[in-house]
Order: sequence, then C-alpha cells, then structure tokens
Amino acid sequence: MGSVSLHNINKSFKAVDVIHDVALEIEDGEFCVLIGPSGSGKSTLLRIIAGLEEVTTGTVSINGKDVTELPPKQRDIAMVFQTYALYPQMTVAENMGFALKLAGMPKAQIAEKVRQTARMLELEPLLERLPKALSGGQRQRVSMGRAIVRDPSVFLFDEPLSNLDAKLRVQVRGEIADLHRRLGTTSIYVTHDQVEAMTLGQKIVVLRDGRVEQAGPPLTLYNDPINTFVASFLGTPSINLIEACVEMRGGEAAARLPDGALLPLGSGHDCREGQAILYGIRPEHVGIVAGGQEGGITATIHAVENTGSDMVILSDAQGFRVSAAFKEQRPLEPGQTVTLIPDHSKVRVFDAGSGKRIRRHENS
Amino acid sequence: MWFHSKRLRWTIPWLFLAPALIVFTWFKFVPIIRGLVMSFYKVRFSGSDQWVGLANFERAFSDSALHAATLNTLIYVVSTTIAGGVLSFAVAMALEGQARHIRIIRTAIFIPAVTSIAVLAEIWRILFYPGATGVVNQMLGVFAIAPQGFMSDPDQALFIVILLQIWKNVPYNMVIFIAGLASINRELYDAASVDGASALRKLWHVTIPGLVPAFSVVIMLSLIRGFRVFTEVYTTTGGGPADATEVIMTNIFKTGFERFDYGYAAAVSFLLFAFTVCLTIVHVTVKNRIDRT
Ligand SMILES: Nc1ncnc2c1ncn2[C@@H]1O[C@H](COP(=O)(O)OP(=O)(O)O)[C@@H](O)[C@H]1O
Ligand SMILES: [Mg+2]
Repeated sequence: MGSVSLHNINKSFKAVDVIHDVALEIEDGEFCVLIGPSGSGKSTLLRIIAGLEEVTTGTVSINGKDVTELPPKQRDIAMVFQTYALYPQMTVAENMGFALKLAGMPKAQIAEKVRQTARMLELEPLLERLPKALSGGQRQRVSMGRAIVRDPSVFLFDEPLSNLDAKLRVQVRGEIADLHRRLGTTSIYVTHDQVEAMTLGQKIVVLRDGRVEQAGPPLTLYNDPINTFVASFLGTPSINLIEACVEMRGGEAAARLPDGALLPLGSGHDCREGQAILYGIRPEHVGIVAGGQEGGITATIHAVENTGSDMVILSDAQGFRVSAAFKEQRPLEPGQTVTLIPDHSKVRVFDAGSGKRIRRHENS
Repeated sequence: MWFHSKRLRWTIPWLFLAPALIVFTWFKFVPIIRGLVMSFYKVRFSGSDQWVGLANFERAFSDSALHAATLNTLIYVVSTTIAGGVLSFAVAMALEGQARHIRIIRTAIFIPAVTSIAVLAEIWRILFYPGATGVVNQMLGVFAIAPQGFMSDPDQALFIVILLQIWKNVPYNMVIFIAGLASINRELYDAASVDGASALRKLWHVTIPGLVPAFSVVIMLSLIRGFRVFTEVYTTTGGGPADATEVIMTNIFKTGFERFDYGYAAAVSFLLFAFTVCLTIVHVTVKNRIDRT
C-alpha cells in the first residue's frame, strides 16, 4: 500500500509561481481530497505527485521512497482523468490492459486481470466495445477500471466526475467511496466541488493560490475553519459573514452589527473593544421567527428557495444579507418581516482585516 | 404580410445564391457540359463537327503516349503523396514543440504555399540550372560530384518536378497536421505516460491515431492535386525532355491546344474527371468504414 509525503513543494511555470511551499502527509489507505477554486494549483499538485510535472524544489515520497526524480511509471500510481483519456482506437479491454501489456505481463494473465476488474465494475459486457460506443458514465467507469487493474499503491483522481450529469455524479461518487472501502488504496482526489470533498474525503486539503490554507478531517474544517476562505469554501449555502464591531460588556464580548443589533459572542474571545470583525454563522445555525423581536436580527425575506427537503431563506437586514436554512417546511414568503436568531454557541469570529479566525479560549 | 408568404421565404435563399450561381453556371457548369458533349464529336474549325460516338474514348485506351503520361502521373502522385505526407508530418511534429516560437522558421516554411507557381518554377530553374554554375551543382561540386543535368536530363527531370510539388505541398499539409495535433486530448499523453509508454509508443498509440482525420485529408488533397497536376509541370519542363515529365494534363493540353484535337482532349479530360470522382467516393467510403470501426 502507499503513503504519500510532500515536502516543501514549489513549482513555477517560467516566472509564475504556482505552488508555494506545500507540505502534506497522506497516510496509507487514506482518502485525501484536494479542493480549491479554479487555478488554485490542484491539478498541478496532483500532476507533481504523478510525476507528470517536475517540481521546482521539494521532494515527493511514496511509501517512504523518494520518487521526485522518477517518471510516472516507476511511481506505482494510477490516474483517472477528467476527460477519461481512453485511447479511442482501443477496445475497453485493450484500454484496461494497456499498462500491463507495456509492463510485459503475459497475455493470458492480462486477460484474467482485466476480466476480474471488469466483473467488479460491471463492465464485462462492454469489454469488446470502443470508447465512443460507451456513455459518459461507462467511460468514466472504464477509466477507473484501467486504474484499478494495475493494483497501484496510490490512485490519483483529477475531477473525475465533472463531465457527468448531476444524477450520475451522485451515483458514481457513491461507487468511488465503495471502491475505496473495498480496496483500501490510498487515494488523492482533486475537485472543486465541496459536496464531493465533504462526502468522500477522510482528509480535506483546501488550496488557495498554490498554498495549503488548511488540512484536516471534513468536519474539523467545517466546524473549525482557520479563516474566512475555508469557512466560506465549505458548506452550501455558504456561511454568513457579517461585518461587525466588538463591544466589551464586563469581560464578555459582543458584536454590534450594522443594523445596530448587539449579539453576544461569549467570553474568552481574543479580541479588543472596537475591533472590526466578521461575525460568521452558518445558515443552518440561524433560527427564524416571524415578526420583529428583540435579541435578533430583524430582516425582510428576499427570496425563499425550497428544494422539498430543505428550505433556504435569503433575507435583507439593514446593510447586510443573511441566509438561513432548515429542514422543516414553514409558511414563509418573500416580503415578510422576520427575526433571525443565531445560535450563539455556533458563532465563528474572524478578524475583518486578515480574515483569520479569532478563537475562543477553552478554559475561560 | 408579404414575408410570411411561403413562396417568398423559399425564394430568398436562392436570391442570395443567385450571383454566385450565375457566375458558376456561366464559367464552370456550361463549359463542363459543353466539354462532355464535345467528347462525342470530332471538332472541326471549318464546317460542322462530326459525331463519332465513343470513338474518342476508345482511342484513349490504345494511345501509347497517353499511357506513358499516365504512368508518369502515377509515379508523380504516389511519390508526392508519400514523401509529402511523411515530410509534412515530421515538420508539423517539429514545429508543434519549441521550434514553433521561432517565427522565421514558420514563415520560411510557409512561403512556398503563398507564392505563385510561376515564381517557384523560376526558383527551381535557377537552383537546378544544369550547367556547372547552377546553385545545386555548385553544392554537389563541394562533394566532388560532377554537374547534373536535372530538368534537362530525362532520367532526373520527373524527380526534380516531384521535389517542387513536395516543397509546395508541405506547408499546406503541415497546417492540417498542426491543427490535427492541436485537437488531440493532452490528457491522452498523460495517460500514456502513467501507463508507462515511451515516446515512440505515444507517437504510435496517441499521436498517429489522433491524426487519422488529418492524414485522410492530406492524402485526398495530395491525390487529387497529383492526378490533375498541370501548372507545376508546364512551367518547369513543359512535359519534356523527351516526354520524360509528360503527365495526363500536359498531354491533354498538347492534344487540345497544340494539335487542336478538341474532341479527343475533351474525352480524356472527362475520363480524368470521372476517375477523380471515383477516387473521392472510394476515399469517403474507406474513411467512413474506419470511422465506424
Ligand atoms: N503548463 C502550464 N504552463 C503555465 N502555467 C500553467 C501550466 N499549468 C498550469 N498553469 C497555471 O497554474 C495555475 C494552477 O493551475 P491548475 O493546477 O490547473 O489549477 P486547478 O487545477 O486548481 O484549476 C493556473 O494559474 C494555471 O494557469
Ligand atoms: Mg484542474
């Protein structure tokens, strides 16, 4: 099996620095998701691990072995591409067996391995077809089969679901999770879709402009983001970040919102009187009651998005917007005045200037 | 409303096409039809033409001068297609990489494609001047090779004209290949690298399969250009020396405009036309079959 470590990886294309000092430890058998906006360097980092791109400085180790200078085929990795990258002139079976053939494996053995993998992925009836005679979902599955058949130490995925329609994406996402449970192979998965990241990842690495912003288990990143970037990247609808000003009331900090509402932050926050902050609260932690009321944010409903299972309320307060989400169906309509009541224990406070999280001391 | 009238809506596209259609009809379709009609006659300049039925066509199958020209044309077509195809593929591969930034190379390669054949023919005559002062002969002299006759030597003339055609075709073909290369999915090369393919295997399993449409276009164009070649030959050797470079079209030209045997020239032209159409049909059929498998 395979662990992957990256040490101080830097990568420049000519004068442009694309990856800055990335260090990462991925344990044997772990499912690690690299997530970030477009252009944040996810693919470049994955290609560096694959050996398709050389590092400018730094080292890549797989299984404790320094592979920085080795070509892809000597790294014991397999990759699934966004466009599937199946050889159009080869049948499914030939596509799947190509790497084994190049490695000099006897024909009979290749055929056997291909058949086994095809059975596992329910591809057996398609083995003699050409890629162009397959649907998008089938091609995707073949490209996974091509990776699995080689039995590598590490699987690399570069946005493998982005060319599928929404329904298929959910299905294949489940299949990838199943495969990982079954095979237990270390996997590194690039996506810009936070739902994929949250559902698949055992570890999520958030990238921005070629730097690791935060790495950790999905719920840690969700509940305990270190800055506004990570906080707003994960979760839909995304976290409310409301500009506010700190007021100290006898050792307890409170946030004065633009509309004049004063909301408690609780004790122990590392902030000072008058500090400009962002008051962060996830939509699902905002309670909503009809009519105006003390102790909350008075707002007018701007839009109601109802998916049947979830309701999302977008509302305008004085000078800012707040969204709220809940599971139950409630008779709310645009134009209605409501009071939004944040769950104070779930509030995350960020410095307005740097975007960094202002933490709460546990002991106070 | 007038523009709702069905008839008018049907007429408008034809109105837009009309200018082009009229010009084409006058200068292309009418001559084509008249040429076909002419091939059944013995054309006489004084008095009326004489109907000869299929005699002109029958004559084509026993005309040894035409057969010699056909053989030359075949040699010409096969060698320009193969050598031109391979060479332009190689140039395209080279230019797709780093060398594409070297503008002067790109320009230099493209010059023959945008230069008139008369100029190219003149350059060829200067380069391959048969005397000892000729450019190529001087270069050969460096290697102690005696001056060659080139286009004045019946054994070499066809080869030199073929070189001219290759030189002229390479840039066009190269552009088609470069467009084809650009359309190959880059991830296929990555997949091949991960699969452990060497550079040669990537060429064989990724590049060449990806260029099948480009090869198909290049071969077809080259075949059609080759069978109908006229200007390149006429402006350099005129078919000589001793008919060594005579091709079908120069043969037809001489029959028609030097011996004024219009009816026979028209018949041979029509045979060449029919052959070109067949070639295109065969090509399209083969291509469709490849696409389907
Ligand atoms: N071969 C390359 N040459 C120059 N710049 C590149 C190359 N590949 C990627 N980049 C640049 O590196 C940055 C990161 O790209 P990429 O890793 O593809 O981002 P992501 O996959 O996160 O969208 C982008 O700004 C992109 O323009
Ligand atoms: Mg990418």
